[in-house]
Amino acid sequence: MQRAVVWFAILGAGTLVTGYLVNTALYLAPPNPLTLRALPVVLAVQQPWFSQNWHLFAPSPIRSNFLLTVRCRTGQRLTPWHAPAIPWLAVHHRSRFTPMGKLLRLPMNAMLLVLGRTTDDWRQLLCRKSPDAAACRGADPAMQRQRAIGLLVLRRLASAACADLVAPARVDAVQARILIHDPPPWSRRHLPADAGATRYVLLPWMPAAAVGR
Amino acid sequence: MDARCGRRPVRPVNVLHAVERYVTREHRQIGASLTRISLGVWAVYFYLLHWPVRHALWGPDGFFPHEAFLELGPSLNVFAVSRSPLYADAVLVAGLLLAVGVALGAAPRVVLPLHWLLLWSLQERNPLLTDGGDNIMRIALLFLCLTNTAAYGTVGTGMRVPGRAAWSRRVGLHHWGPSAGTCRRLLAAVRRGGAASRARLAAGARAAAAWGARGAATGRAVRAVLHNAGVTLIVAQLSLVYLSTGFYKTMGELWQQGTALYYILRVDEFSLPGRAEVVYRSTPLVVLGTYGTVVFELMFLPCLANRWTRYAVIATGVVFHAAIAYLMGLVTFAWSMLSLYPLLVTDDEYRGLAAWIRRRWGLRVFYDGWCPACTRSARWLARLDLMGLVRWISFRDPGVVARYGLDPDRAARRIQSLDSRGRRREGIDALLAVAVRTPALWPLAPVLGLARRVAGQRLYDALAARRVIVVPGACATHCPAAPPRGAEG
Repeated sequence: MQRAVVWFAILGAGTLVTGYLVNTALYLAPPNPLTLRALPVVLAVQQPWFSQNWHLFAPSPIRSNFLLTVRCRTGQRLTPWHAPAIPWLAVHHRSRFTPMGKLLRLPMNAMLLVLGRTTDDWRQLLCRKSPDAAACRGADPAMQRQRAIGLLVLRRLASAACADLVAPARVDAVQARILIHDPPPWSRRHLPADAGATRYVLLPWMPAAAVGR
Repeated sequence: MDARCGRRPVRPVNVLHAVERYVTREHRQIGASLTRISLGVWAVYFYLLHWPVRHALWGPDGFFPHEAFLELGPSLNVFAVSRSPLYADAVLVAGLLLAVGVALGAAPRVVLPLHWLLLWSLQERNPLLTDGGDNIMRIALLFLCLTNTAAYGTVGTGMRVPGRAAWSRRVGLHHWGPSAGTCRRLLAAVRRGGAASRARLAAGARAAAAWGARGAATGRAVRAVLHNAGVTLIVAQLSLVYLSTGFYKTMGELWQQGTALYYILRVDEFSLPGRAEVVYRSTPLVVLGTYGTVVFELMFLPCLANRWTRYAVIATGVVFHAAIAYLMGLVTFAWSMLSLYPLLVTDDEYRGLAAWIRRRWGLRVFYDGWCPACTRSARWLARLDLMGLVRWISFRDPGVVARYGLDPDRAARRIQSLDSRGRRREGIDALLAVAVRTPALWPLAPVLGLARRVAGQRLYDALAARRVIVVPGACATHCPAAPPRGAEG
């Protein structure tokens, strides 16, 4: 009897371990026909508790600096553009043991959401094949929700920065601008960062929000 | 047939028995305990580091407000209960306390799942903050709940396995398993009863013991199966992380061209001004770093198959993640990944390493066993000595003085130590040698080193001369510190 219990445990654990590993391998593999066939099961097993993403700078590593700049409107006054994350970055560069690493992720990820960047391989595959699909034009609900979250966080980051900038005056509205700076390419690697190209994405004016910090 | 031919009979290998024997024994207990400690310390660091910015990151009115979090439809999240800032602070304090509990190994079967729940809640509370380190740690913690992480490095047991069966072993019921207290009560009942009652109770006890032994053995076997499943899942998950990212990297153009590292290090958030330039301006370093990363990630899993390639891949992984932490500033990511590395080493390999370290850096310390304060201190210091490098011996014990060639007068005046190379130290020098070998006392080592140069030995002598000793059978309290004449050991 006891041996049967032990063997039941061995077989049960073995089945669960094997099942999880096969499922995870399918989940993590690039889009392929086998995963596609089992996709509902694969996703049901992995999400939410075992959701994971190991792209980690792959297949194309991040190669641009994304910088959030904000300006504030207080009555008739308009402030110049200001980059709230620059002091955080300076602290992060001075010491690796500060909370700035986490804080810096916030504007970076929010900007990537607004810009419609995604690590979803299936969406990327779809967009390669059908660039005009709703999901590739940012028109599907998931992308719109993603963009709304990004905008919300950028608005709050901008509001907090403006509150510090113009205090004690009251901020009426904030505007965010995403600067995208591409460092010099490999062939011009000896040049300083300024030698790269910079472009920007201007976001609409948004009402200021109260942010508790 | 075999015997006639003069050959030894070949015993058929029972594969099922071999499998059963292997999987019902807990493997990599030391690795599981070290992983628990490392992930616990990681979490303590994480909570303390982010405490000053907690309201901005996880507060109800922070950068990602409570309403937005609720709209995401959180699952099993403690932050969903209330939007009060005080409640959010309480959750973080609870998380910190649980993290301390995990690091110390306090009731890990209860504390680990709760710790996982709070970290999961924290990650779900603001999904824009999470990185790969948070991701792997969350999954690994879930699997770690299956394992026995309390075998080593827990509060009160140091690095030693707790000896729960010690009493029941003495009374011959060591297979009883579930509780020594039950055995004790049963035997007391047998002693109390009359002859007939004793016989009946003894028969009952024997039957119960046999039944209990079988049940306990089954329980142990099932727990071992779960432990091994947990360990397998963590190691396999770690391997899948490397395999997956390595696989994706081979598909990337910049990784194929050998210049990916250059572009990553030129992004301010993942760079270190003044150091990164040295790497990204050097063609060999960029190309080797880029290709080396891909090769390491793809070869991680196959290299685990052989002992020596496993050591190589562990060493490479440590250097790789240390470089990521330093150059790219991804400290918590590197820490999370490296926290799982202890599971790549077997218990026998750890024991071999510990024996080697003990042979090389082991220390015997001879204290005064007649001094209650000294005995208490020795007991506490032994508890802090997680690596088991220091052996505390009372020089008053019979034969110790002769065996180790001690001078009893000197030993009575100052604590003595003898290291594995035969070097003798005394007084504050011996204490310094203890501090150097006990990681928990490392913060104290510079203080002792400084004190040694500034009249530390005199101060030690003054304190030692004032200690109270209790000579067994001679006087009860407050005896003089001078050693009794002719006392050996």
